[in-house]
Amino acid sequence: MDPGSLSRSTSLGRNVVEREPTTRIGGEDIPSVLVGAAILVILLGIAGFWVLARNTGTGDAEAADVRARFRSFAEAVADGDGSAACDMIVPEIAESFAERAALNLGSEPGTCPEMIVGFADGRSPDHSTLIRGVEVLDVRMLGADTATNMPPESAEVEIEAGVVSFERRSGCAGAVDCWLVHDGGPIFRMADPSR
Amino acid sequence: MTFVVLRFLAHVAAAFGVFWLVAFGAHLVGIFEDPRIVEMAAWERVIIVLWGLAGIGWWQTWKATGG
Repeated sequence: MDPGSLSRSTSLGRNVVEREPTTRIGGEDIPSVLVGAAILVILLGIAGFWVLARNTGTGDAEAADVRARFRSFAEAVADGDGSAACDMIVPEIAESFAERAALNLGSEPGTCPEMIVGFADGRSPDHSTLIRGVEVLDVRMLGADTATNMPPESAEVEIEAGVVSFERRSGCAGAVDCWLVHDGGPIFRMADPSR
Repeated sequence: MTFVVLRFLAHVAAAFGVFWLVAFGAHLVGIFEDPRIVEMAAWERVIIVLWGLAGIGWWQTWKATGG
């Protein structure tokens, strides 16, 4: 059957062939429904690209670094990669986290990496997937001084469970690893199997 | 514009639309995080989802008409 035709049976049982409406483009008869679908997807494509162009997610390079750091931190905690996670935490904060975590787990005091591993061992894989995929609701950059061209000193990443704060290593700017976790409370609470 | 060009543009738009529809799905189930999606307003998300659905609709129509 011609692709531009439709076949249907009448109430008398006879087959009739109907021509589908067509549009003439460049000397060819193209089914109108196909032309309509093409125009619709192209118009929505233009609108979609415009929406994506408005939301590049890279408006602030420092904020993008903090966002990337947060993602790496959450993944390291979810994977139970203690040394990677604790390297991203301010050392004093890592120590106090280890003390609290040992109390929560009811275990002997240990190092920060040991406690991250301890948390991971007590968690279900589904629980870890939730941490790995935690949604970032907002990233706020704090302490920047545009008059003296000083970059932000700290940052806050908002997730549903609370706010994870970061501080910038002194003398370091423009790189993801300039940012250290200052308060990872919401992620630690999500990671704690005793909660 | 001949239909060849229109068809090519429709295929390109459909491919990107379906890609972003899949990205939205992955974002909703928490296995993919893209700053562009996080920063979108609700009405912008609706446009992206309609774009993806229109892409699927285009391919179905194209196949049904012998494409």
